[in-house]
Amino acid sequence: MGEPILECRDLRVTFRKGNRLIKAVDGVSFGVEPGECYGLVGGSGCGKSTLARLVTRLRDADSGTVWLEGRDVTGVTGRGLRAFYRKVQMVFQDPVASFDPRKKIGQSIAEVLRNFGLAERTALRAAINGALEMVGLSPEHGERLPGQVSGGQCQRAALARAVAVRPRLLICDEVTSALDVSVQAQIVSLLRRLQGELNMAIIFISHDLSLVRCFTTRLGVMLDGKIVETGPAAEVVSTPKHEHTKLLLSSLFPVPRSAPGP
Amino acid sequence: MPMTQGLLTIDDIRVSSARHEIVKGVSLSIGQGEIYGLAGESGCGKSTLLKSVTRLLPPGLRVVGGGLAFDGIDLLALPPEGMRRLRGRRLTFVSQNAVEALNDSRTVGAHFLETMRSHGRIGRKEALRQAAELMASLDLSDPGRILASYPFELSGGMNQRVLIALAMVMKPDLILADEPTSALDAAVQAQVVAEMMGLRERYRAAILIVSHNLGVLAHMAETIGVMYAGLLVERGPKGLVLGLPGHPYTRALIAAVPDLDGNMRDSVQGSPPSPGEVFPGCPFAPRCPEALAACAGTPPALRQVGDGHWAACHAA
Ligand SMILES: Nc1ncnc2c1ncn2[C@@H]1O[C@H](COP(=O)(O)OP(=O)(O)OP(=O)(O)O)[C@@H](O)[C@H]1O
Ligand SMILES: Nc1ncnc2c1ncn2[C@@H]1O[C@H](COP(=O)(O)OP(=O)(O)OP(=O)(O)O)[C@@H](O)[C@H]1O
Ligand SMILES: [Mg+2]
Ligand SMILES: [Mg+2]
Repeated sequence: MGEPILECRDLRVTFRKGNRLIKAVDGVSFGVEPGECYGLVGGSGCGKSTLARLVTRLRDADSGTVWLEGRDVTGVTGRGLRAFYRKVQMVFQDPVASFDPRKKIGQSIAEVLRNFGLAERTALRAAINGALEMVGLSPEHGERLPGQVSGGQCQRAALARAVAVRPRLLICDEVTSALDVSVQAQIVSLLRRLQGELNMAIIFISHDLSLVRCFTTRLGVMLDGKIVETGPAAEVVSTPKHEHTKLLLSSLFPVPRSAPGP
Repeated sequence: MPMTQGLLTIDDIRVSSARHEIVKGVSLSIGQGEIYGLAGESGCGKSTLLKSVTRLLPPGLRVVGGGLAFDGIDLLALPPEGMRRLRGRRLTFVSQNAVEALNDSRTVGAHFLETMRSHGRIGRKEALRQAAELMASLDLSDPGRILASYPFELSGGMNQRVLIALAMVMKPDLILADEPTSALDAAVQAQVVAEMMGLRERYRAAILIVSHNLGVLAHMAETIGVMYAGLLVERGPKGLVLGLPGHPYTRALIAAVPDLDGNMRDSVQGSPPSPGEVFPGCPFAPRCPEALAACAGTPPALRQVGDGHWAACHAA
C-alpha cells in the first residue's frame, strides 16, 4: 500500500466533569488509504464523534498527532488550516446545528464554494443547484432556512455542502441516520461514485452495522475510547472476535423479508 | 374507511406552508396501549404530522383541515394553556432533533425538574432520584454525571436518551416518538425499545413511533403505516404490511434494507415530487415499476387488500 491519506497516532482526550474523568478518546491510532472507505462503529458515547473532531482539527487532542498525506497537521492554523479544509471535509451528526440558522441553505453552500474559489460568480447558482440535485434535493430547498426542511433533507444538504468542495477525505458522522432506506441507498451510490471519481477516502461513522458492512472495506470497533477490533468489514461482521462486536451484532432487530413483488 | 374511536384519532388532517400543502389528508387511529409504527420517504411529512398533533408546528406551517381528537378532547379547539398542560404529561413528544429540543444552557437535571414539577407535586430530591433511575434503565451508566451535564457535553445518542426519558418520566398515555433511536447503537437501541414497550405493559401507554428502521417497527408495533408525499399510502397489521406489502413503494423500501451479507439494493430511482408539484394521478407513479395507464390519471384511494390491511394503489 502507498502512503496513507490520513494517519492518527495515539490520540487522547480526557474530559473532566465534576470529580469524574471521561477518557473519551484513549490512545487511538489508525490510518486511512487514499480512496478507501473506513467504517467506525461502537456503542453510543464511546468517543466516535470526539475522535472525528480531533481528526478534523475542531478540537485539540491532549496528546497524539494527526498526519495528512505524510505531513503533521496536528497544530496547523490560519492558511494551513484553510488548505487542510480544502482536502478534508466533515458532515456532522447533528446537521441542523452545522448550518447558520439565519442563512438559506443555498447561501451556506455558496459560501463554501466561494471560499475555496470553486465556482465563478456567474456559475454559482448552477453549482449550488448541482450540489443539491446530487443528494436528491431541488433548487427550491436551497431557498429555505435549515429549520424549514425535514431532518433527512437537512442531513442531505450538509452532505451536499461537504462534497461540493470535492475533498480528498470525507468524514461522515451518522450521515444517513435520518434517511429512509431507499434514499440511504441513493446516498451510498453517490458516495461510491465520488469515491471513484475523486479517489476520495471516507471515514464512515454509523450505528447501522448492515450498512457499514455493505459500504465500507475496513472497519474499526470502538469501546470506551479505544479501538478494540479492526479488520476487513466482511470478516469483522461474519466472525467477530471482540465481545463488544458480538453484542452489537446480536442486538439487531431483523426485518422480515417479503416475497419479491410481481 | 371505517375508523374506530381510539385514544388518538387523526382525521383527514392537512398541513400547509405558505406555498404548498405538506400533509395532504392523513387519517389514523391509535387505541390505548397500542403501538403504531410510521415509516416513509425522507421529507414526506412524518415529523409535520406529529408536530400537528402536539401543536408544535413551526411558524409558517399550519393545520388547514381535518380533525384531531385525543381521549375525546378536540385538540385543535384546545386553548394553548390547556394544550401545555396536556403536553408533557398525558401526551409527550420525542423530537427527531434532540439538540434543538434541549436547552444548551441548562443541565439535564434542570430539564427533568422543570418537566416533573410543572406537571406534578414532587420534591427536588425525589424528582432527581426518579430521573436517575429512569436514565439508568436506558443504559446511561452514570446518571449522576448526566444530570449534572449540559447537552453539549453529551454524545448524540446520550442526548437522544435524555429526550426519551423526559418523554417517559410522567408516564403519559401517549408518546409521539419521532426517530427516537436513530442515534443509538444496536445494543442500546434494544434496551431503549424494551423500556418503551415496558411502559405500555405497565401503564397501557400508547406509542406512535416514526422510524426509518423497519426492524424496530417490526419488533415494536402492531400496526404499520407507510407515508409517501404527504399521504398515507398503506396501513395494516405489521405482518401483512412487511410480509405482503400492498404498495409498490413499501416493496421498494423493504428491498432497500441492507443485510449483513453485504447486499443492498438501490431500489427506487429518481426523486419524489418536488414541493408544490401537482400531479393528477398517483404521486408514486413516475417512479413506480408497476405503474399502469390509470396511475397517471386518477389518484388511488386507500382500499382494502387484506384483513385490516389497506393500500392506495390501482394495481393492488
Ligand atoms: N465537551 C464535552 N465535555 C464533557 N464531556 C464530553 C464532551 N464532549 C464529549 N464528552 C463525553 O465524551 C464521551 C464520548 O462522546 P462522543 O460524542 O464522542 O460519543 P459518540 O461515540 O459519538 O456517541 P454517539 O454514538 O452517541 O454519538 C461521552 O461520554 C461524552 O459525554
Ligand atoms: N417550515 C417549513 N416551510 C416549508 N416547508 C417545510 C417546512 N418544514 C418542513 N417543510 C417541508 O415539508 C415536508 C415534510 O417535512 P417533514 O419534516 O414532516 O418530513 P419527514 O417525513 O419528517 O422527513 P424526514 O424523514 O427527512 O425527517 C418536507 O418536504 C419539508 O421540506
Ligand atoms: Mg456521536
Ligand atoms: Mg422527520
